[in-house]
Parts: sequence; structure tokens; C-alpha cells
Amino acid sequence: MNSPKKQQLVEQELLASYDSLYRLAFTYVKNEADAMDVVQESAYKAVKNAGSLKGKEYVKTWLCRIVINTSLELLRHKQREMSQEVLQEDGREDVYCDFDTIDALEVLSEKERAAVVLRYFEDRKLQEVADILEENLSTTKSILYRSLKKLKIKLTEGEFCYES
Amino acid sequence: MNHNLEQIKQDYQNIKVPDALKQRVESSISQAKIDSERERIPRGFGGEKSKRAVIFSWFAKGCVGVAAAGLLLTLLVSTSAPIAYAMEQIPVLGTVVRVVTSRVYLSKDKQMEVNVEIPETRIENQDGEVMEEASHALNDTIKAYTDEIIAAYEADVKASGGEGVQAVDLDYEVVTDNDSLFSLQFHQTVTMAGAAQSEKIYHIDKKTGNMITLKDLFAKGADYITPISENIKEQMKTQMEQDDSKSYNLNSDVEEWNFQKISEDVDFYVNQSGKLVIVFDEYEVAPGYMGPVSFEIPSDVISSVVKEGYLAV
Repeated sequence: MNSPKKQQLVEQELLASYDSLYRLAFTYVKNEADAMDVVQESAYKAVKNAGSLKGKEYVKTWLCRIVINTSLELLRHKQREMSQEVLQEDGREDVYCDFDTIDALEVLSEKERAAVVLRYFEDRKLQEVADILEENLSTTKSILYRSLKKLKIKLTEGEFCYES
Repeated sequence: MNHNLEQIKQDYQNIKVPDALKQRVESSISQAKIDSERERIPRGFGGEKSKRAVIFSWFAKGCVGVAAAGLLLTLLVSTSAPIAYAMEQIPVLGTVVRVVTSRVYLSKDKQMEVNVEIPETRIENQDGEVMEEASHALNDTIKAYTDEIIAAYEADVKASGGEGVQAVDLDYEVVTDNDSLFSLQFHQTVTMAGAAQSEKIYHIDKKTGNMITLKDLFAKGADYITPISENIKEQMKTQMEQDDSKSYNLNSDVEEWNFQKISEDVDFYVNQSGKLVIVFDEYEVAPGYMGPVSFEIPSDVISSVVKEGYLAV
């Protein structure tokens, strides 16, 4: 497969799945403007670097990985900016979505979050999730198991608070 | 527990995907395609042979542009004499490069518009005679470049059935005109949901009237790529250390996104103090928010490989 062909493949996949890539980015950056930036930047990187795509069957996992990496880069960048801003700036705050349940994912590490989102929300195959995370199957399984355990604790705590 | 997971999944699926996203993804895709296409076409104007080959490939593309232009709904060609006159430069020695006319290609339809300035130049030798071949070479290259931009816009109009939202702007300026060099820089801005800017600079050797590229500024066979690239990396690093708001593709976790070295046909110009300045397009070596970026290369970095006559040492 040559570069233009790969580019075409990546383009097709981007246009077919930009909405789920957006949701994936959203679980990391938590607001519309940033998630759009992440998807846009990822689309550029993906098409530009389509040549380094290994094979047709990897295009989906590859795109997910780019989106996750780009999201993390943006978060790291923001963190650096935040630590510098001591004074309150005038300006519009990003609008953060108030989904209690999605906030629950916050207890998970970056990797765990990706695993849960891909496996349970995007209904990816276990093997695909493993490929995206670059882990083997059994490690992926234990990541998922650990994540569910963490989530359960968090959610029960939440319920408890509301009741009392 | 599964119930809760279901709930999160529900909320996850309810995350609203903004309507504008599709357009932004499309604009990224086309920008990336333009950029990688550029990297595939060799653009050296050094040797006579490569010069012809390259001009031909540009020209072939230009024809497509002309054909597409014929389908235009509104077409306005104007000669903007005062601007062209103002652009004339009169140096002391060697050849003279004049921007003699400037045409504007303008088309507007619904929410799509294009505004491309196309300069036409004339290269004259010491005795004031027009150097036909050299002038044609430069004008053809410029035309091919502008035609390509117009053709890309026309293709977008066609693809969207005229219902897209896009603005393409191209203007130019003479960035260098000294005894040894004449450089014409083009600024292209494509605005869709976001905007992407890219630069293109053409150079004329004032002694010969021929177009030159970066490698012509250096001794034959000398490695100028490595010292320039290493210096740029150092500058990126220092800038990022001193200013947290700056970011370059240098230490990304994904190796292939990192800036490795400049390409042979990287854009450059020579600034007023005679220093070499390397210019990168938006997205090329830094995240989009940084815009197009440029680096001035200190003389001592390249002093051992530089060819006499173009750069201040």
C-alpha cells in the first residue's frame, strides 16, 4: 500500500468515525472547544503521517491512539499554562459539560479510562483495545477489571452522598 | 454495577458532537494533503535539468487550474497598476527584478470566496534588456503556484456543491531585494472553520537572473542541513524552556511527529541584516495555535559551509 492510498484510507476512516473520536477526546479534555481542537489536530497528523501506518487493519486503532496522545498533549500543555497563571485572567471560561457520570471516569488513570471507553462505550473487541493501549490481552483484561472496581467504589460513594 | 456502567455509557453516547466538527476535520484533511503533496514534489531549481523537469510538473498542474478556472461563475481580472508600480525596486548593480503587473483573481459565491493576487515579474539585465527566459521561468512558476491554489479552491467548491464555507486569500510581498537576492514571499490563508496559513518564497539570484533554492547559498556538496536543523532544535528547546506558552513538535511521545531536520525545499529568506531565516508553515513543526513560525540562523552556525555573496558572515 503506497502513501496516497494510505492517505485515502485514513481520510475515509476519519470521515466515518470523527464523531466517536470526538467523544473519546471529550472524555479526556471535557469541553467542546478543546475536543474539537484535538480531533482537528489529530486528523491533520493522521493524514500527514499516513505513510507510517502499518497496514489496513490497523487504521482504527492507530487513529484512536493519535487522538489519545493528542488529548494528553493538550492536557499537559494546559497544566503548564495553569501553573503559570497566578492572576485571574479576564476572558471566557471554557464551558465544561456537567455529566456527573462521565466525571466518574476521573478516578481512572489515562490508560484505564481509554480501556473502559473503548471496550464498554465504543464496543471495541478486547484485542483491539489491547492494540490501542499497546498491552497484551491479559494485561488489558486486568486493566479493565481494575477500572470497574475503581468505578464501582466511586459510584457507590456518590450515591451515598446524595442520600444523606 | 452494570446498571451504572450503562448509565455512563448513555451519557457518553449523549455527548453532542458539534456540527462544525465535520468541516474542521475536512479542512484538516485537505490541508494535510496539500502539505504532504508539496513534500512529494521535488522543487529544486539548481541544475538546468532539474529546472526543466520541475517546471514541467508545475506547469502540468497549472493546466488543470486553467481548465477549472473556465468554469467560474464570476471572474474578475484587474490590473492593479499603482500597487505594481509601488512594488518596483531599483537596485544598484546586476539584474533588476520588477513586479510589473499584479492581477487579482476574485470569485465569490454564497459563503465561499477566493482572492488571489498574481504578480507578474520582469527580470532585466544590467543594460535594461529583458531576460525573457529567466522572466518566463519565474512567472510560470508563480502562475503554476497560484493556479494550484485556485484549482484546489475550485475543487472544494465543486465537492461541496457551492454550499461550503471557505475563504482563500493569497497575497505577496518582496521580502528581500539587495545586491545579490530578490525574494518574493507569498502568504496563503485558507479559512474554513479554522484557518491555516502557509508561506511560499521564490528567490532570484540578482547576478544571473536565475531562480535559486536554499542549497545554492552553500558550497557545493556541503552539509548545511545538519547545522541548520540542529540550531533550530536548540532554538525550539530554549524558547520552550523560557516561555511555557510556546510549543514545538520536539519531544512528542510519538517519534514521527517530532521535527527531525529541514527539508531541502524548506522556505527561507534573507533578512535585512543578511541573516538566513527559515520559515515553516502552520502545523509543520508546531501545533496549530503557534501559527507559521520562523527561525533566524546565527551566522557562526553555517559560516563554514556558506557560499560567498548571499549571506552576511
